[in-house]
Amino acid sequence: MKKTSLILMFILVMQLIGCNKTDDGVFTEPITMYEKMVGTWTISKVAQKDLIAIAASSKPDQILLTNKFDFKTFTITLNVDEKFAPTTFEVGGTSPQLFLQSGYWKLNNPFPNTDGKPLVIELYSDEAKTVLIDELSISTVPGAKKTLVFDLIRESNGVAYVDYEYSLKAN
Amino acid sequence: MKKIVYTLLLMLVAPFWLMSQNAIQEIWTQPAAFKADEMISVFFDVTGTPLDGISESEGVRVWTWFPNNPDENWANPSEKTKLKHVNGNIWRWDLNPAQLYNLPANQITGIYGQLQNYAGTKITDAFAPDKGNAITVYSLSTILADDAIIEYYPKQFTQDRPLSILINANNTWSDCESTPTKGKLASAPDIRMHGGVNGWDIQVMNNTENLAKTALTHLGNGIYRKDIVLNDYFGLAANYTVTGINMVFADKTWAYQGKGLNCADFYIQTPEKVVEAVPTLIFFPQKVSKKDLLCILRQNNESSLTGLTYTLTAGTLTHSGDFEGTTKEMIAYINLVDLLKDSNDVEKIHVTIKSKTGKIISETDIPLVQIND
Repeated sequence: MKKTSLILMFILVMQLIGCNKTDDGVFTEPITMYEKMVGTWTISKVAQKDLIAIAASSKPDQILLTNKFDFKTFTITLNVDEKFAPTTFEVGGTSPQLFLQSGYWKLNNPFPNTDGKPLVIELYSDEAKTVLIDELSISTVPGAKKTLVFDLIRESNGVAYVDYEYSLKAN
Repeated sequence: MKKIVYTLLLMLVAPFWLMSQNAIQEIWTQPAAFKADEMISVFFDVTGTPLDGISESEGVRVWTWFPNNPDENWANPSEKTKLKHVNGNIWRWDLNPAQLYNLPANQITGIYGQLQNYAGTKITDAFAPDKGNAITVYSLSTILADDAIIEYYPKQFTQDRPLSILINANNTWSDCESTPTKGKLASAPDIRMHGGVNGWDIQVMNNTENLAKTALTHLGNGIYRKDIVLNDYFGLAANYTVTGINMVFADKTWAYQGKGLNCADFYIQTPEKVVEAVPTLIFFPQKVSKKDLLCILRQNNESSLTGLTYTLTAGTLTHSGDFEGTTKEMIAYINLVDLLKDSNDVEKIHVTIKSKTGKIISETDIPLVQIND
């Protein structure tokens, strides 16, 4: 009898202990691309690519413009809020204004695409991000190496004919 | 004192000459192979130099410093250094080098200098060894060698420039129909060329009709020289291509003949033509909108080209600029984004490309594509 009572008490105590709330840690938002893209980027290389020449395998198909047209002065600053949500952007320097120079930005996907499609920086003129002005297709995503490469691709009649490739480094 | 002033002046402006690309396009002499103590004509093509298109009144003269400077008047040159206008950009300098430089012929191996206007304010690059275009006195040593029979100069001759053919009459072969003998031609009273081109296709025969043009010049020691311009001498049509020259030499009676080794006719093969790359003009990219950057490339430019300019017109807007680069490749970088930001209705641009001397290289319309928004 004494033995039985001890076993019952042990089960009871164990149940009481087992009713403690589980500690799952503090909830954190997943890391987005915005954390990697925030900040000011300066130019390391600019190339103009003739997509029609590339398609036809004719030369020249590319001209380096890094030291031309004041591209050396090009900077772009991508801002985020305290929650790493994209807000405004601004282009600095005196290089040709090939795309919107200031406004609002976001990515078409805050995480790296899993289908192999490039991420795109969407540039908007309005804070509500309803008026999309330009798109910059990202070919090199910043990672351990603080480099960002995006392409401004122009199309005519649905056919892409020129690509301005900006290679940037974190300031 | 005067000499010092000019030397100082020379040193002062020399760096600018070196930096400039004012190379004389072409230099040739008549005769092609000349001795230092005979009258010669030196021809200069000044296309692409600061003297391009210069008037006869402004004048072109030679400023020469090698083997010496026979006319130290920087401005207001004497007659002996003045050139005569031939046509277009071709100017001619007539001189007897030994007389001009007041030196024994054997002390003159070459002539170096530069061209400038009479006032001395427009100057070409030098003709000198470092430029690879010095005027050199022909050395007779090759044709005077023991076994030498025939020589010609220049090796890279062309149909429309002077060619000198030299023979050593001491070593040519005569009496080929009976017992061949060597050197008999050296005793001939006169020596003439019986010549043809392309396997005797077109000939200038050694006969009485051609006495005025067939004679060779005796340079002494049995060395004779024939100076010809192939196109003129053989009366060749403009599109006729010479592959080789056939020759036999003799006096006007054919009593003395001069043939080659084993009594063969002489033959000089035309040198392979150096094909110059054709200049290429490229508008980059192939399609362009008014929101793009336009690059205009001109590759393999003519060696005489010192620079290019462009003028772009779009509606009422006109914009001009210079190309950058070297003769290998010159590029103009044009920011259409800025240029055409207020030209809303423009559907094409008109681009004119000129050389620095004003010659139109290209004139073309480039349509502006509409970009997808």
